[in-house]
Amino acid sequence: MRKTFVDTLTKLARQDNKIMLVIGDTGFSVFESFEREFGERFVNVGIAEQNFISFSAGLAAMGYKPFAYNVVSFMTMRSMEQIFLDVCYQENPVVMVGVGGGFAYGPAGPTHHSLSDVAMMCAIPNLQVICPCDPAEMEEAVICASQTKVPMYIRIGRSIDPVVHKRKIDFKIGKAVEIRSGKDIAIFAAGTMVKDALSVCDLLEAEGISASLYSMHTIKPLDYDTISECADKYNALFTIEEHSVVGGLGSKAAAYLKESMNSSVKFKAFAVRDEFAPVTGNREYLLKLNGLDPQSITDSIKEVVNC
Amino acid sequence: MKPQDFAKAVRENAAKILNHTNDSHIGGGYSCVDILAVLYTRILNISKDNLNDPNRDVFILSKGHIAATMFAVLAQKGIIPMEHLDLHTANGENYAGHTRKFVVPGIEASAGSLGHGMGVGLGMAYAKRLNKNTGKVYVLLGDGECNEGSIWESAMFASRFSLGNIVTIVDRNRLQSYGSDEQVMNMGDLGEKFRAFGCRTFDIDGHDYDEIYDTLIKASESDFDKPAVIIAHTIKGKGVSFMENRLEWHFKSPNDEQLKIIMEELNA
Repeated sequence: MRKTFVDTLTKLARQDNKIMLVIGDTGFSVFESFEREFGERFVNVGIAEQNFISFSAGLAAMGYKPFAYNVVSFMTMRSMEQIFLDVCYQENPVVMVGVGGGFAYGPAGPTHHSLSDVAMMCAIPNLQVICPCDPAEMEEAVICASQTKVPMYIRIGRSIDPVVHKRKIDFKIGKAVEIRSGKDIAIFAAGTMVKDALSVCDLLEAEGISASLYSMHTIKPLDYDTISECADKYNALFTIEEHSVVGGLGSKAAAYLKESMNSSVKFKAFAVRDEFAPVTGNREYLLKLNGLDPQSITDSIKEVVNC
Repeated sequence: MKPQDFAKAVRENAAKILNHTNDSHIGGGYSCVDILAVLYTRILNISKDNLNDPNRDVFILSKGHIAATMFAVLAQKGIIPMEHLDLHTANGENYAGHTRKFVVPGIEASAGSLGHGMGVGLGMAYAKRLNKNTGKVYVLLGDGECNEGSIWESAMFASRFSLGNIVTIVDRNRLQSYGSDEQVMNMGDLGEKFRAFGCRTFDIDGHDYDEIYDTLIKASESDFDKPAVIIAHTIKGKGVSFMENRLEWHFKSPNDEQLKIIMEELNA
């Protein structure tokens, strides 16, 4: 995803001399070619996340299109007030690209896990929150971001570069992409979990449950129309995300289903427990610990469907 | 208009606004009025007609809590209507207790939480340099604001990227919110601190119009590739005997009787 990001940004930057890349001393071995090609349109602000965001906001205020790239956990938490006041409050269209969403940096420990970022970012007015699931969605998200008039946050994982979409997608901010069409239930998965959700669909199929799967790449503004249609059409809905159960896709979908639709459709949100990871582990281990491996999710969905 | 006349009018109007609204921060407004007066009468190439000109000077008020004083400055400059001063903190209007971009013309960056203006100013200065635009970026900080770590992130950045087109001014009035600078964080020689971060600095009397002007001209000279920081030594509540160097005027607003004395003293 990082490679897709820099390749796409490089192409766009050749056509648009207002595009800039600002980093917080991260991205070694990824951005050197961009730096060589674009000189002063590449800025490394050092390990100083507050100034990182304020500086990017100032660039945007003067008409530049800064892509501010940093590790999710530091960018969102350390600079939360700068994002809130300098970017969103003042409508400066900075595109914040966060690497290491969820348990991507698993063994590094909870300082590097980012499980509250979507909730925090969604709570800020004027900000769009995008979680691309594969390189195709990432490319489209970066192209959209290069034309944005509003601030955006794009959250990616790290080393995993799954290919989910086999053909050209119709990518629109705020519109879910249907990946698989089924007749019993619908699953909405976000970002890094979409690939795992495909495995869940296969396992369910073997058990006789036919599932639709949507890539919910935009968490804000969330595609309530699709959720609404699915609530009318299917017996049960599920969300899957690599994020805390507090304030992410599942929270938003649940609130919508109950408050706005008063729907009686069965619903369950698969997300990370509201706790610091109690032990060390890699991404797969920690996901499994939270019941977020394909088999555990499949078992749980079966229980909901059959009860 | 001479800066001293501009400053007197601003002090009068700020006192009237704050008497009317019971809002705070008159002391920290008065400490930097003379700096604002020199900037807006003799330095900044801005007017209500060029606020979107990429070659304009940009002024960022980072200590956004002195909104009443800043609105009086903008009204005196003709950027907002004088009659809008009655709208400060009024329900349903645009003039909050902290300065807000877009809704108030002439405000280049919203403020309210401290330690943001310098970083935003750096982005604007960097953009001006890339665009080869003329005009400088001026940022006004409070000295208490320099407690914020973000200021020092910005100072090291300004120096590393040789931003000679940004001038930071610190209103060194030595009184914060809960106590004096010495009692709270004892920032010591601020000029020395900024020099250690690679800036060129000037220590001046922040109430001497000629010295403010001469220093702003020197600080704005573009032959230098080092960012300039002016430590303007000031008096909180400057110009009114019962407010000068009094901590409580960070919070208090003048009542009718005090307003009368303020007017008398400013016109003495």
